[in-house]
Amino acid sequence: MQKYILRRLLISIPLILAIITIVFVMLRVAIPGDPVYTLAGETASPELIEAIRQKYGLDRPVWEQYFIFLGNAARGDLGNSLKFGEPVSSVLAKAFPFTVLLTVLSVGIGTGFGLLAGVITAVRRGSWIDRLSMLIVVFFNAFPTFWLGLILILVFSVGLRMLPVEGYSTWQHFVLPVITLSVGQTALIARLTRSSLLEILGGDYVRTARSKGLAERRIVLVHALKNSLIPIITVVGLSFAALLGGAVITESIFGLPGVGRLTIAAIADLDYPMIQGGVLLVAVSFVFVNLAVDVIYAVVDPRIHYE
Amino acid sequence: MASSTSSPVQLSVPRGDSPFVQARRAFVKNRAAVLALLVLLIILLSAVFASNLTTYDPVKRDAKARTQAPSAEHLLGTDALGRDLFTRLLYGGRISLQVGFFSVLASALVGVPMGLVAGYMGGRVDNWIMRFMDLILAFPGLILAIWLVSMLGVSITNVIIAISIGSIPTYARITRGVTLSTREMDYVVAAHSMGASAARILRLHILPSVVAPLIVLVTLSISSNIVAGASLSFLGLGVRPPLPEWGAMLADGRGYMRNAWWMSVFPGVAIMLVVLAANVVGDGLRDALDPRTRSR
Amino acid sequence: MVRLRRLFLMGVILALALCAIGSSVVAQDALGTGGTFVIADALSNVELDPFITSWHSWPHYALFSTLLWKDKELNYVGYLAESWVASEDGMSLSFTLKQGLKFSDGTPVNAEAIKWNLLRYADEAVAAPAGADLVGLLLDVVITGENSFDLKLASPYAPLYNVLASLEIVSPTAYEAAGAENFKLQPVGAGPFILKAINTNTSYEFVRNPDFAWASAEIYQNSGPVNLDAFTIKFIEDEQTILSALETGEIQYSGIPTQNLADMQDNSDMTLTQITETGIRYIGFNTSKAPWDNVELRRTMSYAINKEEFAELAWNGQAIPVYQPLPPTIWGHNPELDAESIHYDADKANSMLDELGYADVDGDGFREQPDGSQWVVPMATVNGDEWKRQAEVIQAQFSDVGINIEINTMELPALRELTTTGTHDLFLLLYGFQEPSILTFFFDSGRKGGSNRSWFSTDELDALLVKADTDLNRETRFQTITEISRTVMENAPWIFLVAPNTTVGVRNEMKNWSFGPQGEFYYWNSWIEQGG
Repeated sequence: MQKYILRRLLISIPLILAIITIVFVMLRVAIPGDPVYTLAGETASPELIEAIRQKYGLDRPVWEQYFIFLGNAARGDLGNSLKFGEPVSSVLAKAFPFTVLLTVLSVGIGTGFGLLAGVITAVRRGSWIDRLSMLIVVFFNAFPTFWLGLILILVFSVGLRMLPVEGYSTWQHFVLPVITLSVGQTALIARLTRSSLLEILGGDYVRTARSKGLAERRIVLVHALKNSLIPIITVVGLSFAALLGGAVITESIFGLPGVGRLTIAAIADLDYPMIQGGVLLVAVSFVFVNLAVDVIYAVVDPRIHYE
Repeated sequence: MASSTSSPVQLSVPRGDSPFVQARRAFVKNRAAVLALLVLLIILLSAVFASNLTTYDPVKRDAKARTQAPSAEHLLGTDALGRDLFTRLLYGGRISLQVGFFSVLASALVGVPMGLVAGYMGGRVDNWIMRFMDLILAFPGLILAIWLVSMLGVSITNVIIAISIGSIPTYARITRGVTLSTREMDYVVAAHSMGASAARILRLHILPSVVAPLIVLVTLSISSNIVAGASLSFLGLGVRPPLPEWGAMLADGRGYMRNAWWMSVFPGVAIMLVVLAANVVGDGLRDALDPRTRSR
Repeated sequence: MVRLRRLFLMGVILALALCAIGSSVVAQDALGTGGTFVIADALSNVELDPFITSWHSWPHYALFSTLLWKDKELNYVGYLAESWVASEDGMSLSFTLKQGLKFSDGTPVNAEAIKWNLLRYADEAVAAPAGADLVGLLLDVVITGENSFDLKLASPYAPLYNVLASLEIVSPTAYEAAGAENFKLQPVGAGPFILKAINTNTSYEFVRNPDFAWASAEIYQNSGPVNLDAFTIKFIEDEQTILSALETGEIQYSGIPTQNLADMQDNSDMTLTQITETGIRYIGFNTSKAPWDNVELRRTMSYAINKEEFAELAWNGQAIPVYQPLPPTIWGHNPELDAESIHYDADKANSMLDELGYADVDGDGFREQPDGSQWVVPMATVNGDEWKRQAEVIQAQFSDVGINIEINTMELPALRELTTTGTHDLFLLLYGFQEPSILTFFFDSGRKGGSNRSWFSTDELDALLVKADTDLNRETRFQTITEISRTVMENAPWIFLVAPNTTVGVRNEMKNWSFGPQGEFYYWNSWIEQGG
């Protein structure tokens, strides 16, 4: 197992390098626009534009910029953000904890409720609880975050004045964003759990356990759940990884200073160093989360082994 | 095998119908699923035959009819440019349904085989395939979408491509996960030791286990992909105006929620109906296809 | 008897006088203090170094002061400057600063400091976007006293006062100590506020500058320090979130999206004020690319646009149609020109298109090019709700006369870059500026590949632009600007659309504020009532 982990980590280096390179080249070659135009302003003359281009080193050939970037990155210097003027690494360091917090809360709560709903509906299959729970769970998943977020704001902030609209200084500020993000998670986990449990509940496994006279609840929770875990873990891992990239729309709507909002601001202004830094951060997070998921697979199901 | 034509005893064991016939029968018994399927069919047909169901033009503006509430003339009201909402919903269904369906199809067609191969073969093949999936996953979806749009322009096809690329790893990963655990099960190991070919094992033993979570994934994907299309429209990367599309209509109507709620509520309801129906049908399918639950 | 009456009268007059004095004293005391003013403005998410940033807004006006300002009649008044005199030939401008000015690091705002600032703005190597006008124009700053100096110019320059009202003055001591790298993180100016915190990509927080005492008396009753305790700018982009925050009182000031005006009208927690933008929305043609080099075609297409309907549909009626390059809010706008301009006439557009050879041969409702090939007109614009609405209306109006518009949305930097390449076709954009000299940026031959996005110029126009920029006489300058506007109207490199109205909502907890003629918000003598 240790060898496997080590090998995975080693392979991830070229992976991350590949991603960075693709994004680096794509930004300069394939995506139209240039940070110069924001930096120079609306009334700029061609001379000013050229002067600014030189000032920020954007006039050098792409490959030269690339090696400068790589050399600096290896030393931990991701450059300065064109938009904020601060070092990219410090800006990201301030934003990442928010994104992690939002991710952990959303995935955690979503998975928790999802498991609960999945178990209840699987056990009470066919009953009105089953139908109603599934309806509710799926209902909330049907709305895009940008819409659900606004509705929550209109109802709870503007209408009922129970929660603040935007900001991040108190725990109340996180309630609506977490709800917005976790409904999708809940639906996914609930349905997956229900489906996986229903598979197991009819199988030989459970017949054996039942014949031994264990209380039915224990059967469900321990044996069935354990065997249903593989797809659930996969999905939790994927959601975690996806949200670590920053829930762009939710962060924008609720004014949370996370990585997603940083990315979208950087993309709008073509802040190359910031975009590159953000991509790097997200890529590294993915590597670790995926590795963790694969390790957990093996832990949960001892029959899985990696050659 | 001995022929049974001249057997004196008539065994009353019914010759098994094909699994599909059995499944269909089981599905039909599930009234909720049938209802949901009907709903989907109605939505699909109304999108296809939109021009027969409404006489309004979905893109033509009418300054005098701006933001009108639902009435006899305009069943679901009008939008900011005076266009009939019901009409735009019908025509918009074409695009939204296409996006939902084809993106899922594309992701599944690419992702599932990859996951099967990776999970079954293990070792280096597994590694390479999964790392490639990681590459796609780790790649920021937003940048990919922006790049696609700027390279290839805005169109339904590109929206479908952008969304499906992002989901391929999900299909691959889930398939691989289930394959991994099923591969180790006793009956699979036994079949393998008896010399069954990989293809046979995959088809007979592994695929059925994969089907159940896949159905859940597919039905949820159709709905979440339609929603993803909506988010792309919100970010300005969706279909080109003035084409109607549920997600774009939802995004447009967002600012009017306080005073012209119908502009966003109805597209939202349309999306929700498709999502709900798809999920119920999915559950029904899963229940019908699984012999163990069917027998209950 | 008479004496008594006279005494009585004197007594009454005295009493009245005392009351008057007393009430003004009371009124002075009635200026409250306190509160944190919070606004949401994503555009303010720019660097705080005025030499680096191309967008000067709320944070810069809070931190820094300028030499001059404009009063409610758009006349120039002193801010850091006490008085100034222009020489006869307009090549020299003498300034005297107010006494006792200090930067927030304690160093004095004197002639040396101003010289350092202005020369830096004028320095080509520094490439300060805000100082572009001074490059090549400002020859030198001659110190004539501790607080007085002369500007030496290469030529007379009419927009100079506007430039001096826009260039923020920083503390040279602080700038040299921090360096160009770090000044933006620890800015020091002589403005009404001091920086308290930078929350990257989230907000700027400012607190009152206790030493500030030189706000222009023509605008502010209390020249300083400000009445507010603090000022925060949050960088929120989503307009619905901003509106919701205004409704709950989390912010006190915000523009109201046009579609939500009716909702906010009945809201008793806020006061709405309508201001017209100092700028317009317009469609530009790339006149360097065929067929847009044909002035007849451009004029024809101008006839197809119904500005009134555009204002109705795209702006909910909250915009003024414009028929010349300058809106009514910018000096230089001549109301008499409107009648000469192109007004909506679909019939004329249709017949002219036919004449030019753009006929609908295949009957699909869209015209083909004279050579028979399909005619699709790409129009580039910016991502966003507001632009999408406008683009759709334009597209619909053109389609009425058979022109097939293809809308391409992109981010603003991408659009700007596109227009510098000269490969674009039509573009839907805006400008916002306070002075008529903006016309030079758009129609001068030297700006092609830069701010002259329609790549349009003529020798005659170039001469007129220079003439307007160097004419210090208000009347003759106005005539020249009218000529410029007329030339632009006739040649139609742009189709003018509207000058939008913005409705701003200010919460009623905020007291004693007002608006300037160009939409400036005067809030330095305001305070926020707590627990209102």
